[in-house]
Amino acid sequence: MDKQEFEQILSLSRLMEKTGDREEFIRSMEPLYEMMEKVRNAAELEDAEDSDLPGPEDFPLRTLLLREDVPHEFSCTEELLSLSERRDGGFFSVPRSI
Amino acid sequence: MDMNNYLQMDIPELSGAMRRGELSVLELTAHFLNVIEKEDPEIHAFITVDREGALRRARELDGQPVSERRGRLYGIPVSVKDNLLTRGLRTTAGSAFLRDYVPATDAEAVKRLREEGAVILGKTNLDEFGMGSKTENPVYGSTVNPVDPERSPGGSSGGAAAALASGMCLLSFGTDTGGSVRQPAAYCGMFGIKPTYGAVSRNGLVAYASSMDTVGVIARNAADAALALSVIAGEDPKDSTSVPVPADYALMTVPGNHGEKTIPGDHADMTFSGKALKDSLQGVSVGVLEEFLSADLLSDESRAAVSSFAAFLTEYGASVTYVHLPETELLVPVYYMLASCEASSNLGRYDGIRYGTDLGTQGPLSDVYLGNRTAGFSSEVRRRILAGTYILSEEHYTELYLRAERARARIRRAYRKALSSCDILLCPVVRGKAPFLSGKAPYDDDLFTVGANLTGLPACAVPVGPSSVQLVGRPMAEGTLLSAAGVYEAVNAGERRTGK
Repeated sequence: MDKQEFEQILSLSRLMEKTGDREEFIRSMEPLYEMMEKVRNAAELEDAEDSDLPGPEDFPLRTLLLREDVPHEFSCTEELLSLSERRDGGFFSVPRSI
Repeated sequence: MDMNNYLQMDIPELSGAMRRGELSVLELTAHFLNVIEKEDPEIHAFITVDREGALRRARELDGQPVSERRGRLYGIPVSVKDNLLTRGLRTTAGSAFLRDYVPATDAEAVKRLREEGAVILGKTNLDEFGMGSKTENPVYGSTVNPVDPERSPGGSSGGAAAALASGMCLLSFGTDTGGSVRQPAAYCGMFGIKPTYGAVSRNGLVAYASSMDTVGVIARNAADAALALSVIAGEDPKDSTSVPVPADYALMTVPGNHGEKTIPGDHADMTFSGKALKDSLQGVSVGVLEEFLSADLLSDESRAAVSSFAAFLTEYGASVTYVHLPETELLVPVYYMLASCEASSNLGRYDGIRYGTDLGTQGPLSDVYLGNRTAGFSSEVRRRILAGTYILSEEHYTELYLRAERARARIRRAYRKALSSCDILLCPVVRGKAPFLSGKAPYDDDLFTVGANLTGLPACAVPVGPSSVQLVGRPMAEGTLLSAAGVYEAVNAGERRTGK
């Protein structure tokens, strides 16, 4: 992961196609990119193991985002839409009537 | 009795007066609708005001025989944030996508409010889908802070806090995913509480980040909040993450002149004296989060509020120590990464065909989806969808998403450790004054609030002088937080906020 790649992927995203000033929009994503870098480089997470992942004892929570659901190509339209269909399964709270 | 006398009462007392027929629900409702009509053109706290519905409901409640009047919020005029579904009343979530959406059902929290006799005045403004901390909405306008009209009320429940602080309602219901109840409550000088994750059903809450979304309360004081919370809390089969709450949930215990009073449920006149309250916090251990107190971004005013509250707690019998939270640096990044991932998934459904209003794009289906999604989402929402999708992509899932989840587990352990020796963690809730309407609210501003969302712990914002402090508690220990805040309010009678 590097910033150039991040910006390139953003500029290719379909969600950006109709964005007016793309460069400014991409610049506005810098704080979010910096946060990703911070977590990626956090030394204290180097020795983290799978047991460090949240478990049922931590939350009355289902795992929302499953590894097999991750899209293979970055896009914000078709992949995400089909992804949300698969993930939904009645779990999310907004009724389908919307 | 003059209306102003009633407005000074706590909600348990006021509701009792209406149940006994001493005050007309219609008269009280009309009073608040008139305040909205006068104040809201400037404050812009509401997206939708339901004048007709509120008056109809008030007449219905007044028409009930006194002997049959039930409900802990009987006749109490409330506001509801516009991301909680209200049957028959438009719910926009602050988004163009839902500008015409009229739900067929109530959110579970709203349903419980109605069952207990509340009168819903309208739906309050928010950042789109709750993503933001200024209630700066490109579709429905920006809300102004009634305390200082040059400034924002905070967000995303800024409409809820502003409505209450300007006297447009007696109680506001909001949602808190990263501080969205506590932060605007603090900026508007009100009491705000985010309950334990799972204590209040999320059914009917328009989803943003489902593992952190929580329905919360903004109130004039801790007693009102305790009652409101006890009404909306409880397991709900329609939300699989909701859990049963203990019998003493949100029970606020404050020693009074006439013996110990408990809220909710006690409608007796509550009077306090410093003498009766002395040592009332004996046995309560409080840990001041040292890393937060030494944060560079913290203003002197917010730091002084924490010190002053710590001194108060000591004076009234609590033991106060300093505790460490070593994972502080990661709080904001981990929160924004995980919230963005969940948002990118939750908002995937809004395409204008299957979900949301078709915003008028012509052409092939893919263009219609694309056109609707670019026109329907504000820049901030798009930023988070893009970031979340990037983090979840196959190439970056392990180095970003998994690491963020591991960091979350560490943060949770750090909080758990701090709470193993303390009943309450004391820290700031906001860096200082609210941002100016024209200014920016950087993500870092959320440093003090996101921890409670990442961990699912209960937390509240308590007004202290011109500032506020935050109390964080153990799971389901809302009563402990409310009691400590209640003692402070009772001692400092001037701190009991009554709105404008």
